[in-house]
Amino acid sequence: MASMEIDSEKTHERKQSDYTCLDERFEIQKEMYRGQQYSQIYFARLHLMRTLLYSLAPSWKPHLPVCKVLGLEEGKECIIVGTLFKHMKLKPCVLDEYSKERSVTPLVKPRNFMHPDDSLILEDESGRVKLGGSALSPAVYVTGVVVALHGKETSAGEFVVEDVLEAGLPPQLERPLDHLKEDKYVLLVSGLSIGSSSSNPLLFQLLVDHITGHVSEDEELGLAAQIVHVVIAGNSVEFPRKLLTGQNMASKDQSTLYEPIKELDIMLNQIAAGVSVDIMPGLNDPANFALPQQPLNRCLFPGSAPYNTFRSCTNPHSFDVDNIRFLGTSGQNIDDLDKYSEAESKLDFVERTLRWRHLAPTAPNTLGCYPFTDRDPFLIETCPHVYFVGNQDKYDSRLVKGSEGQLVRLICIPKFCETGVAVAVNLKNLECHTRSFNIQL
Amino acid sequence: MTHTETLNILDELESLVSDQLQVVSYKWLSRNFSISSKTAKSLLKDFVEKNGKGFEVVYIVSGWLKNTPSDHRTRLVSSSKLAEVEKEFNGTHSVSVYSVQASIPMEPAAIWNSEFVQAEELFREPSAADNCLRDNRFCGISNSFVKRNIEGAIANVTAPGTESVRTTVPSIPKVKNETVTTAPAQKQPAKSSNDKEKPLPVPASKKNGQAQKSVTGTGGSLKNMWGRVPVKAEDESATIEVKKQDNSEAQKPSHDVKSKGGSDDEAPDVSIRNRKRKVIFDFSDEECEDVISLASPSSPKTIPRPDSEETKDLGPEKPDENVSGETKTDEPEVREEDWQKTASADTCGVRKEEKPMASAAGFNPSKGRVTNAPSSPKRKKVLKTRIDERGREVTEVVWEDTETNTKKKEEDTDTSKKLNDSKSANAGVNRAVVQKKSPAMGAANAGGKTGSKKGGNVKDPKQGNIMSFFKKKV
Repeated sequence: MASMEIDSEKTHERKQSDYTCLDERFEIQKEMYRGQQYSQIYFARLHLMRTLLYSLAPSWKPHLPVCKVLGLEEGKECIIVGTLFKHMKLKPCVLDEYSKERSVTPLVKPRNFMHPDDSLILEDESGRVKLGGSALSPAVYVTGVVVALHGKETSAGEFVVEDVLEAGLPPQLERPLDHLKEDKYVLLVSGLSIGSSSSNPLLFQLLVDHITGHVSEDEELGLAAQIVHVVIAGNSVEFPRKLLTGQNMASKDQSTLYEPIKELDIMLNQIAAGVSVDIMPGLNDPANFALPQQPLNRCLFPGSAPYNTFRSCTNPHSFDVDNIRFLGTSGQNIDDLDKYSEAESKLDFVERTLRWRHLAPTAPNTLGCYPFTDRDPFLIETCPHVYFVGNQDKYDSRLVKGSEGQLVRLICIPKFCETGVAVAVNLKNLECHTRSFNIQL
Repeated sequence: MTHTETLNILDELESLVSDQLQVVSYKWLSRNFSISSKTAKSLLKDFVEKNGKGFEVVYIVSGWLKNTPSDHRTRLVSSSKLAEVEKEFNGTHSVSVYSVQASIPMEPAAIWNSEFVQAEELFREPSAADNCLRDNRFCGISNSFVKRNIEGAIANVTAPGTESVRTTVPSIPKVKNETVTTAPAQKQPAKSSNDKEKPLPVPASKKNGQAQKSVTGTGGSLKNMWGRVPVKAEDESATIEVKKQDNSEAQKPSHDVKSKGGSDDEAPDVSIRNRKRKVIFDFSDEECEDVISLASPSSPKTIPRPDSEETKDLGPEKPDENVSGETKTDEPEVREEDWQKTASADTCGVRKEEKPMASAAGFNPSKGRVTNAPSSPKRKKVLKTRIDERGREVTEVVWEDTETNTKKKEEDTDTSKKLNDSKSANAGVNRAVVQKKSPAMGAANAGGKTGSKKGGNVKDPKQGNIMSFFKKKV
């Protein structure tokens, strides 16, 4: 039979690996919304982080007492633990829309809402106190971070900060060293934006052909066969928004609306037929807006859903491959940090979130979030081995070493529709390289 | 590949590229002629060498870059730029032909078009079919761990005893013109569509699903994705047709089955696929029924709870009272037949037969029950069946002031629905439990369907019926 001949042409076999999905903490099926507000999630966050910081404080500054905000006495040096709140002048407020005098709104919305006058306030359940001093830079911190501060209260009622203690990198599970004799890669890609005018479907097809092994050279086939897992980190489709006018849609508009998803499904079908693939929702995808974004519904992918290799995942997404822990988001958390603080590179933001042990500290302040009542799912309890963020402007990567021997690979995945770059992480040694595709005709 | 085959393909290639101006990429070639990608690429290479200058060639260059060693690049280049692009690579790169075309299109994505059209066609094939898109058979990497579950999307509602059903599955296509004997067969597949071993209804239903989704411009795709309601209306009417057939009203219902809902395959399949949903819907409605039934206390409570014989007797009485010209007289016999069948059949059989009746009952309690009754202070919802202008049997739920025994049929059908594991022998006992839910169910189900004539729900016969407005238009 013809098929038999063809099978023999498959010269390589794809490597296999163990996969465990750890998205349960990000799912909200079991949560019930009873009209609660966000104070509960802040309380849960403070409670957990404070316990942690209390345990770290003695080794940091053993001679200082720890007290609550209301227990502050003037001139007394102590450590206080609480949630930071950054008061920002330029932060957009919904009440501005109702102000009596409609001043001329700036034509260009500022991308970054920072201002030299921004100030930080520390808050715990007993009270808040204004923070001063130069040790704590408002440009670096954002609302929602829980820290321990060493300093003393001045007569003006301000707390002058001398030193800051962040939670630091969480403990990491031992990475089984040398258990992997061979190179195995996890391919990370994001920002496919199928359906947008700027995306070139041929580019994505080249990626799919590479992953599935339609190339002919042995060396490249070998490289492709080493890919054990593919993660698509958000913004996979872009719907023609002009069709969404709030009016009833004509049936031909409905099918136009559906085209990008169908194209994505056909491509995912090709990938899923060859390798395990996870798809995460992003800002532009048909999923809910507030974090944690729930998995894209399987009915959107009728062609790919039947495969056991296809998985629709939450955003943020956490999983284990061969005991290597991956944690990543589609980029909303870092983009929000970018609006309310500054850093030299996006990787600095990523590293900060890791040191603060919180994926998205600005949630729920400026980032949409579900009002959890008894937990904060964005707290990073175990340090991942690979921490990726999707939909960034360019590729960047860094290896971070922790104080207790943790080793984390931080990755910024660029938007594929703009750059044609996908990132491959080697499970053996956490090295990563890019696989790029472009067309020059 | 033999030499002659190669030559044939090369000839075809030539005509495709020069006469039909098609872009032939190696993937397209491999899918079209069922050859592996590797072979396709070498074929294209031969073609280029043979015919050379007449065509434009696009090459794919891939390898590690010279200057940035941590970047593996794959590049599509036209032949004119090939040399300079190759310089960027570190020497171990590979070059092969990506596609051949008459001229380089302005829009690079146009190269991808014909390949995508091919992929789309493969994608649209019924989901049970394994094609080269779905199993990646022409690539160079094999992965034995990939499994494709065709049945995966459909939730399993019925569990035991589906064996008896399987044998009757193939009869679906033949059902149309047959009488009572095949009716159970038709109903059974509805229930057992979950069964993994059923290739027929499943691919058809999946095809339906896919057809729904891939059809352009029908507007049905999004609706089917998000809204059960419109599909249900169609589906419920399909089930009603089935029911009618069950009661051996041969000509009209079969005609209706054919004419309703698009393709022949689709109608039962839509109903099969959606029957599950509908059943679930009915279940949830039962909770509402409790609420509703409280509001209309008279009807449910007064419905007697005698044993089965009595109800059977009452059953035949009902049609006698009616003036309708329908084949009502057939009903009692058929009903009794059904009862006997259910009494003797296994639980699965009961479930199957009752369920469509029940679900239909939920939406439109079994047809031909009661026609117009004189108005009296007590009002209940009953079904009214008539023939409309287009010769179709229309059943509506109408507020009628009738005696309680007209409700019997509803209850019977509901019984099995509520109590999955009970034998029909207990139907009489269970009926009492179920009774109060039935009128409410009729109300609940009748209310919500859009665009369906059968959904007309008249509060008071004296008041105008809003649905009558639409009927007159037809």
